[in-house]
Amino acid sequence: MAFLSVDFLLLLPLAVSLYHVIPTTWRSFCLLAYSYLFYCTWSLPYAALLLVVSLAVQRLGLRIEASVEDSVQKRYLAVGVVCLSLLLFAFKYAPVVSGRLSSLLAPLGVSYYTFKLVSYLVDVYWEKIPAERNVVAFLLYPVFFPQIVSGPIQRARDFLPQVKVAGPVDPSLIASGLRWILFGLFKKFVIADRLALFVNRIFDSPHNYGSVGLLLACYAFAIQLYADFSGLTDFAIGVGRLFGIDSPQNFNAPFYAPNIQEFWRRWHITLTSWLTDYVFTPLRIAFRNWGDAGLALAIVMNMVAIGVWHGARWTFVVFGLTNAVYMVVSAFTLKPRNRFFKRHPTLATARLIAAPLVTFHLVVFALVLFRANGLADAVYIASHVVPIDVFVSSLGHGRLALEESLHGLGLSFFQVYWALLAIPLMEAVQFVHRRGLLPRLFYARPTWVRWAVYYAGILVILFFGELEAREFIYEHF
Amino acid sequence: MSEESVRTRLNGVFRDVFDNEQLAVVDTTTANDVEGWDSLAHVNLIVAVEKAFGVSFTTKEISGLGNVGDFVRLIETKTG
Repeated sequence: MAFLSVDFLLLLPLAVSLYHVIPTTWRSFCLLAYSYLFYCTWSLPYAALLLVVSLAVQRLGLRIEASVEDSVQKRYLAVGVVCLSLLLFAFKYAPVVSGRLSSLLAPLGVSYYTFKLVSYLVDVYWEKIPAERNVVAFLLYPVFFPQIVSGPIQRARDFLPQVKVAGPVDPSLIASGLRWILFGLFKKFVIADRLALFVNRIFDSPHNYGSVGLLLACYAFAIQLYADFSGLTDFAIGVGRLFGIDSPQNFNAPFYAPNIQEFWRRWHITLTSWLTDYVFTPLRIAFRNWGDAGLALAIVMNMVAIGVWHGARWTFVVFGLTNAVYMVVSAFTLKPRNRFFKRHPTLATARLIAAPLVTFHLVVFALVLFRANGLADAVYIASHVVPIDVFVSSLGHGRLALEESLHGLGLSFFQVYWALLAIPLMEAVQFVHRRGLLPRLFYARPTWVRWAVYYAGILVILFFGELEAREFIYEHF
Repeated sequence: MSEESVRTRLNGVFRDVFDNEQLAVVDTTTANDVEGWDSLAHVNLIVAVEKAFGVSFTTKEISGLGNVGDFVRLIETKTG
């Protein structure tokens, strides 16, 4: 069953209702049953594999905790981390490396659940959390169905205590869950999937389009990817909340980040914070006596890991390397830049506006690599997006240029138009949410006003959404 | 080395690393309380502390540091 399908949305209310009427002590078992049922609709053998892997990791965690000698603990940790890495490699990279792409389909969510389990073992070894003795709670951690498809990668210390609390779920958490679901669907159907109509055609045959189309597609893809993935995360957070489980946020206004380090702290937060804790920091510590070279090496390895995590493709490797170059340059120049702007307060004001714009464009450029169907296409797009040419041609007739570009794609202005109108709405809602203004501006309104807004939201999705069944981009990673 | 002298010398290291002569850390100070104390600066801090006290930490010890108080106790066990 697809995560975002009519079947799923129809079964969800039934599952939620049953969950809230059964005795609270059965709830974690109920969630575990739902999660494995969901997983079994994808693949029974892979569900069995996940069950065996989870049980093995739980045993390893207990062994690590019970061992007195650090060397013994390390050995158990190494066994766990190596086996989980091999599992990930075998399904995600080996078929590509060996050239037998079609032979093996990767298990659903393998990139997410192996990362969850590795972090659990390391945290037990680092004595940040105790080894989990409650088998049901532990088994639920990697398979929890709202998070299995594409995260967020929640840490065990945040997840497990929530599962073990057996009390009534706060109704406000359920209400907020419904709002997250609605907003996630809005981002996905009205923005991401509409932009995808335009983006896919251009990226699938970039040679057929001029610089206007290519440039617009680059911007549109950045926004599509954000709306798609953050929409999916919002949906996952919302579904989790219906069952009383709070999941972490994955995005925090990334396109307003003032530098590239900050961008990566705000984009796919649960992946980047995972890599920071379990890859970057240990590497940085290991290389700490190598000075700046050690720092640069740790950054490069970490960013390549971020790229390659998305799949075994050269475009992802170069995407990681491009971001590594950004990060190294930014990290080594940040202090002098800060000092310079401290001495020039007038320029510092301009920096407030210019820095996020520069960062956004660096990201848009790197994302061309992320989306392009191969390095040759990426190079073609990058070398044929000529900003001056575009600027001049779009000065007098911006809409005309867009219409010409869309017409060439066989799309009408109308088909993409709604996405363009919806983007400011998405930004406005997120701005109000970030500023903590929702309680005053929205929750305090009379019930009929709030429900009118919810119904309007549903109607907007139904009428203006691109509802042809399409998958989420991050389901494939 | 007494706890108090560890604290004083540690504060000096913090001032050097974060380039802030006014900085005064206490046991409950965490990364959120000090401007610029991110994952990059954290390792610079570790290197500076190792040099200042002539000690060496493992990744496990470093990952267990939650606040300045944890740092003080770790240095004490290493130097004691």
